[in-house]
Amino acid sequence: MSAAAEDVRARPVPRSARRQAADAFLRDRMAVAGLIVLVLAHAAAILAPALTRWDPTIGDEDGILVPPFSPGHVLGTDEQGRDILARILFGARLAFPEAVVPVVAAGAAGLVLGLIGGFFQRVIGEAVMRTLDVLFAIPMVLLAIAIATTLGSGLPTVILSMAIVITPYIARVVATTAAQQRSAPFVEAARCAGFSEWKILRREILPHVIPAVVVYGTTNMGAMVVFAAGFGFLGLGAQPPTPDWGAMISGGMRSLASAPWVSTVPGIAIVVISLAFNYVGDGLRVALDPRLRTRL
Amino acid sequence: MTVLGPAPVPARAAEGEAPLLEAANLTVRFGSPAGEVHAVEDVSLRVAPHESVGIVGESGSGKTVTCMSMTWLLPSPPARYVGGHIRFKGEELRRNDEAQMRRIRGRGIGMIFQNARLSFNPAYRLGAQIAEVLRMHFRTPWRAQLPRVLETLRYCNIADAEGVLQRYPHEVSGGVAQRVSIALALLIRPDLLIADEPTTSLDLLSQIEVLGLLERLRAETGLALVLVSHDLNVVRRIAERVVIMYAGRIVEEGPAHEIFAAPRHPYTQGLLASALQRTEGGRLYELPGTPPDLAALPPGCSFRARCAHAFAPCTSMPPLLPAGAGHAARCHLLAREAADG
Amino acid sequence: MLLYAGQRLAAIVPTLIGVSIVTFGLLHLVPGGPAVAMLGMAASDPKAVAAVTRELGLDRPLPTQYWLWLRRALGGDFGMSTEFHVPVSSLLFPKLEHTLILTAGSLVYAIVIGTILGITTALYHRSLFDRLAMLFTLIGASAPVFWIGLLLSYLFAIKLRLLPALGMTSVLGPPTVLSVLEHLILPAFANAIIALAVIARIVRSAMLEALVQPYVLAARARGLPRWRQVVVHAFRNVLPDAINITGLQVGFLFGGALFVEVVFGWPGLGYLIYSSIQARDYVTMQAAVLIVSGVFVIVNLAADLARLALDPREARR
Ligand SMILES: Nc1ncnc2c1ncn2[C@@H]1O[C@H](COP(=O)(O)OP(=O)(O)OP(=O)(O)O)[C@@H](O)[C@H]1O
Ligand code: SF4
Ligand SMILES: [Mg+2]
Repeated sequence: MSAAAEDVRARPVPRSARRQAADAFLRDRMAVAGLIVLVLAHAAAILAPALTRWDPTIGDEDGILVPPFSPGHVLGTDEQGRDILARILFGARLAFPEAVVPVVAAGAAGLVLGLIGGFFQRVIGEAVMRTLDVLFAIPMVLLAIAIATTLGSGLPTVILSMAIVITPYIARVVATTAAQQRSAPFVEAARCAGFSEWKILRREILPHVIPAVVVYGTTNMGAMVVFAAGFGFLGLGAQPPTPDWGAMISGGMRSLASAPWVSTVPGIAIVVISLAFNYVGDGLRVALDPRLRTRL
Repeated sequence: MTVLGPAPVPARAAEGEAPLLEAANLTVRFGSPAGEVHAVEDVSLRVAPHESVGIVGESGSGKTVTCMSMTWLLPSPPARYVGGHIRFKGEELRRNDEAQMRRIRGRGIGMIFQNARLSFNPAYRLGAQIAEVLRMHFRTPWRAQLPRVLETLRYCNIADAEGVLQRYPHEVSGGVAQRVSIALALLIRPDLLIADEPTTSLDLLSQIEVLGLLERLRAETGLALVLVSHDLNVVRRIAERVVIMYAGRIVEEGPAHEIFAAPRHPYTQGLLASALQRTEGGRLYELPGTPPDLAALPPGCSFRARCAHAFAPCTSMPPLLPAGAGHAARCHLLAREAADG
Repeated sequence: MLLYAGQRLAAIVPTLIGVSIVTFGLLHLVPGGPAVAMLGMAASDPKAVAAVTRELGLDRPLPTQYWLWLRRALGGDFGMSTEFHVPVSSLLFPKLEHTLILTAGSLVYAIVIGTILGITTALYHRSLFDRLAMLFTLIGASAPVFWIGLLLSYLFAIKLRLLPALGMTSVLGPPTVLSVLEHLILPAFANAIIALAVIARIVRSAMLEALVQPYVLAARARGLPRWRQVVVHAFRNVLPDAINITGLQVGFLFGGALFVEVVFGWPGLGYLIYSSIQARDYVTMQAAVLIVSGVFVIVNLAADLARLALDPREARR
């Protein structure tokens, strides 16, 4: 999130345009609500040790599978007697980096590759785009899992494999936007006026490409939360007993019949955070696209 | 015929003929962020059997909305039908009665649109689309219909009738598409054909051809016709009666020869001046100014801001005032003349 | 059209070659290299390593290795599973069939429900129904499939006892088509949710656009009934878009099947991959990626050609 906000600030747009964008974003109630949820959840993740007196990794053998709304355990406990709320809070410490880091990394890589493919468009650009086509041909989840399995489990591998598989998608967004801009009349004019390619890139191309990447990336952070949960579910993410939302869901599978909350609660956390990212992404899209902005 | 003021007696009604189509006090608005757009205000219109009526007005004056409303065609929302009645052959057309409207649409009242190519579905061949409509209305097999279809297409000056049936809409010219859509309307044998700017998007040659076709239709069939245009010259050859619209209202109506010979409303006079100059190849006369914003109509006569004759009473909306047999105009000048004379 | 189809068909060859290079490369990323990956536990025996190195030409240059590997793979030889000690192909193909059944089931749900939802929400644009349906699709698309699977399993199998919770056929009695279908209902639906949501949203926005096109108004003016305006006229023009997006969803359905199979004990490729992950059975994993990608490429090609065939303006180019 912070990275996305920084990218917005980095846009070389006049102050009034930036203001307009901010106003448009603030008018979108769902986007604002999503942003508030994300900020609160992020704060809760940072303040986790202060917010709960339970250790997320140590269970209480006398209190296994305590249902939610019990005294001391608002969200109940799991099969090892660990407090679910504590595990959710500490799990958020993984969920945010898992959502943001792959997108930022892929955003940077996709930006470079997409510009090579969409703006420079030489033989090498063609080669880059064809290579990315190959990655599109492999179902994303399967490729990510194959990479993660190959490299060995753990948080860094999960983040790396997610970054690898979404890079082609971001590169494609960059390449199409850049290619559209590239053939726009004012870019032709700038070229005739003797502007260097770099200057055209900085002045005419990036101001359009970067918002597109920010919007696409933010929306995809929601998908990354879900994606990362999938890794945890398969046992490829952070290893036990580290609390991970996806792993919590698979941990609750065995006691599903008697204690459905163990799997249900972390799923709700995932849905809420992922929805929040989606709404913020939607709000940014409207805010950063002048055409959509004026229509509202 | 009119709501405000003493209703002038139209020529045909005087002969005691019941009107084919009668719209009364039609008012249609659209919601918009800038406020409610008053697209059509209190329009009353009467078309006698076999009569041809021309509706003329600038872009945005509400011609299309008026035509669409004759068969309650506009989806609502966004359109808001604030008031009005439509009677067709003495039968009240109920807006929400889909079964009744399906019987009237196409069969009773045919319609052709400005951009004929867009009025055909790009995904199907023209023949299939004609067949679909005919199947719906007549329930006879396509093969039995085919001779009549080809005959009608040829009547509409389509030489390669068989070939056209095999084409997709994007494969024919705008002029051919318009003639096919006229042919399709004729095939359903309506009593009234409403043609909404049928020539506007066509090249000059096709314009002449389509207008010629409509004129021939008028002469050879008993079809009643409503012809819409923003150009007086277009309706001149075809219409027996002319209705002038401005900012959603009828501002003048009357027998065609009177409208052309002695227009009473300053707006009609301006339109005519520009139309005449255009035909005579002189310098283009354009009405100065632009029509008012329909979302924020000023009080009084809508034409006031552009009118060279505006005087004190014009701050109130004038009624349609009688100006001869079947002739009326919405202008305070008429009242003054009546008082003076 | 035919020419274009030929071009597209030819274009998948380099894609497939690329996919094979990527999957070939996977084994080389395994810590310890491909020999270790091929041998699993047995890699502790230096003699076995030497043998496999010689047999697969692992001491030869990479291009040669790739060529040797590709030739074997094309012949259906993907190596031995390090976990089950049988040829991977004998593991893979029966499971592939089961996964295809699950994916097809999900696809049916996604297409039927997604399309109907997309059309009806467009018809009742901005109504309460539209808002609720869009919220539902948004939530559905933001939730992990395995979680939805667990919720469905808890509700319909454990609580209500309406449907089986696990497996592909009934344990009692012979496997019948009916029992497979019965077992398919829940997992296919769980897996379909995201694709369903995406299809519903695309169809909805395309329908909103199509419904206000002049040709729909003209159809109305010509006296055609409402259903023909909607289905025959508006939806027909949405179809190419809908097919395009559906083709793209197939890959996600394969991906989702991986998780859903684990939740519902569906004996397909996903379950096989899941056990391969647990057992670090890289060889099986590699083959599964190759096969699934191949199927995916072909499905996308088919969707692409179908879309073209349905758009007369495109097809004539
Ligand atoms: N669907 C709609 N939504 C909002 N406003 C509309 C809609 N349809 C028409 N209007 C408004 O109603 C007014 C009358 O439009 P209409 O199309 O009837 O004009 P017209 O006389 O046919 O003009 P033209 O010569 O351009 O066809 C216009 O100001 C237009 O903006
Ligand atoms: S009423 Fe007044 S402003 Fe309106 S047309 Fe007549 S003279 Fe002009
Ligand atoms: Mg119009």
